[in-house]
Parts: sequence; C-alpha cells; structure tokens
Amino acid sequence: MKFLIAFGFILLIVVLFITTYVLNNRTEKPDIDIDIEGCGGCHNINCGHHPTHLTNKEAK
Amino acid sequence: MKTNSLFNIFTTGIFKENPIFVLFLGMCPALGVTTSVTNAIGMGVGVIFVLLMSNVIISLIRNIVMEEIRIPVFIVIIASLVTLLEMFMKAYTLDLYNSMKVFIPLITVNCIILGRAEAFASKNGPVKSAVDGVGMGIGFMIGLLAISFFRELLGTGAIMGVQIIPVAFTIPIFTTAVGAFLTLGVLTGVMMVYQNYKKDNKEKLEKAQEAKSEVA
Amino acid sequence: MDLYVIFMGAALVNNIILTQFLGICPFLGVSKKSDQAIGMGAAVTFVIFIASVLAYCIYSFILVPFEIEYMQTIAFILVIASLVQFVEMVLKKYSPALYKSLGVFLPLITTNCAVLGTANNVITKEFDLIQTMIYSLGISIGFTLVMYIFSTIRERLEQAPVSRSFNGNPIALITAAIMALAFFGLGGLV
Repeated sequence: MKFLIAFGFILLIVVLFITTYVLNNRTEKPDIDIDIEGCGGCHNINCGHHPTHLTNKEAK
Repeated sequence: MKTNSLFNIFTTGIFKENPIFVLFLGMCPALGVTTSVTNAIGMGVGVIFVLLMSNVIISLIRNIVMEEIRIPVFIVIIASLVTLLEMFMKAYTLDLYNSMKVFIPLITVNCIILGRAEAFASKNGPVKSAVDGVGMGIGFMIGLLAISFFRELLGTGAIMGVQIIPVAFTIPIFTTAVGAFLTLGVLTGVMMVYQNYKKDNKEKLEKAQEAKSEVA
Repeated sequence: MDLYVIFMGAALVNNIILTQFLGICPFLGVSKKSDQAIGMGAAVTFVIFIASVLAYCIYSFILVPFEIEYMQTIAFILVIASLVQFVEMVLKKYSPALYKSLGVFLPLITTNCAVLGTANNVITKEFDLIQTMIYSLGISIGFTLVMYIFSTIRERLEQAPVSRSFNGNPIALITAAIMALAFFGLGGLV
C-alpha cells in the first residue's frame, strides 16, 4: 500500500516536471539582447542559450 | 580500429577533457569531499558507478525517448541511480556515508553526469557510452585524489592512517575551506602550465614544418 | 535570538560558498561582471527561498506521513526543477525585463548544488517553517554578498598582470581562498 502511494507520488511529480519543461520549451523567448559572451554558465546544458536548445528550435 | 577508438574515448576523459581541471565541472564535491583520501576514493567510486549506469541506460533508451522530454527523463534516471547508491552506502559503508553525508545526494546535480549524458550517451551506442562514462569517472577520481592527497598530506601529515609527516610540521589550514580553494587553484594552474607548454610546442613544430616546406 | 543566530550563521559564519562549498559552479562561471552577479544572486534568492519552503512542506506532509523518506532526493530535485521551469515560463511571458536580468540564470540554478544542498540541510537540521524561511533567506543573502564581492575583485583582476597559465580560474580560486580566510574572522558573530 505504502509502496503504491510512493510510486504514485513519484509518477505525479515526474509528470509535473515533464509538463512544465515542455510548456517552458514551447514558450517563445522574448526578443531581447542577451550578452552570450558574458554569460559564463551558458556552456552548462541547462542554460536556455545552450546550442542544443537553439538547434531544436531552429529545426522546428 | 575499434579498440583504438574505444581507448581514445577512455583516455579523453582522463587527460584531454578531465572534468575537474579542464572542464571545471563537479567542483562542489572536489572541494568538499577532499579532506581525506578515503573520502575521495569513496566519492570517486560512487560517481563512476552512477556515470557508468546512467550512460549505459540512457544510451539504450536514446531511440525510444522523445526528443523534447530528453532532459527530464535523464534527470529522473540519474536521481534514481543516486538514491540507489545512497541506500547501498548507508547499508554497507556507514562510516564513509557519515563522513560525506551532504555530498552524496548532490551527485544528482553533478554537472558531469548530466553533461556526459547529453553530449555523449544520447548520441552513441552502449559500449562506447560505458567506456566514456568510466573514463570520465576515473578522470574525476584522479582529480579528487590529487587534491585530497595534497590536502591530507599537508594538513594532517597522514594518508589513510599512515603518518608520513610528523604532526608538528603540518599546516592544519589545508583541511579547512581555505586549503581547499588554494589547492584546487594551484593544481588547476599547474595543469594549465602543462597544457600551455604542450600547445606552445605544437605551434613551434608546426611553424618549423611550414618554414621547412617554404624553403623546400 | 534563535532566529538571529540562524540567519547570521547561514549568511556569514557557515557561508554557503566559502564554508559549505555549494554553488561553486555559478561562483566561478557567472562572477565576471558585478551586475551579472547581482542578477544571479536575485535569482538564487528567489529559487532557494521557495524551494526550501516547498521542501519542508513536502517532507513534513507527504514523505514522513507515508514513510517514504528515501524518496527525498528524487522528490526534491523534481519539484525544484519544475518550480524553476514554471518560474522561467512565467517570466518569459509576462516580464521580459525581469527575464533579461535574472531569467537567464534560472536554468543554471536547477542543477545547482546550492538549492538542493539547502533543501537537504533544512531537513537535516529539523527546522520548522519560520526557521526554514529565515535560514534560506540567510543562505541566499550570503551567496549574493560573496558573489558580488568576488565579482568586483575579479573585475580588477582582469586588468592585473597575472601569468598566462594562472589567468582565469586558477587565480580566481586562490582569491576565493583568501576570501574564505577573511570570512573565518566572522565566526565570532555567533
């Protein structure tokens, strides 16, 4: 019983995360100048300006 | 040819793209866990395990998962693996677990694991990904060992219980935060010296060859 | 008095960067300009505060009653990540100005040891709700303070004659070591 609740809870938040992630990805970035050179963390995969995310959008 | 390429993948993680000294990923454990060599080995082995398993699993499912939800799926997989590791360590290596209690859940957000999953495992087969994972993990562990070796030796004089420098000659500040930053900074600097030396030599060689071909 | 000790301890004595070693990646990566440092600090403050409160709630109301504490890591990281995605989405849609100054740093904070570390600390130290809020505010103010100081030092460092190999991260780390030494002296505050 407890295991079922645990499983259900984890499933719930995984679905929540995937939903928010997809919604966020599909929201357009506002058209503003962002200093990519100065952005020290942009090589990090999670940064919205990482090349991986850009190519995905361009492919669409 | 295949063995050559696998070997290349393996050594890239150790030297050319060493996670700590070249890519500057995974800094948090590099400073926090390196107070003793035992802790460094424990963390290193843990990260190798998680890297290996996550690379293999992600490489196996790379064709099934939708492009858009890749990152969330990776995070879920890595978090589950870290929970497994935590439970294993709590059960079988309690002393080690207690001395690095804070940093074990933080393996989940270690940039190395997610970074390798995205950059390598999602584009290559399981065997190559496994080799890459182990290579990166060993590179990480070597970095941790280097830092913890100096910190423990200069800070307490003993390595894993074997007293090498008498206690009166130790510099206790190396076991604190200050020593951590200092050691990492100096070691990174030394690594850069070596890399710049190699780069300069390579450029000299190329220039010499150019000059030769011009003369000829 | 107790809250004062928690706040000062979190901000200065057990500073998250210089003592607990969490949040080093943004510390080295985003600290080259002072206005970026402030933006990062603001984003971190926001995320850590909400994430800690959420972590407390999830732990007390879901994990403990159903005896699934072992799910802590997974639950926390997923909730923190969803929170950040949600906030970024809201910023993108309703406030481009705010997005420009701190929205860019939000994804970096998801996989940041500082947030997950603070959430775990709140649970380990067994704070109640008010203490959690004060603690997380202290941690994030300490983070912002150190980031700002460090970025101003780094701006000066750019123009200093550092040897080629030690330029960039190595000299930054050695500077951080000196800062950590300075912060030792604040131990007497509590």
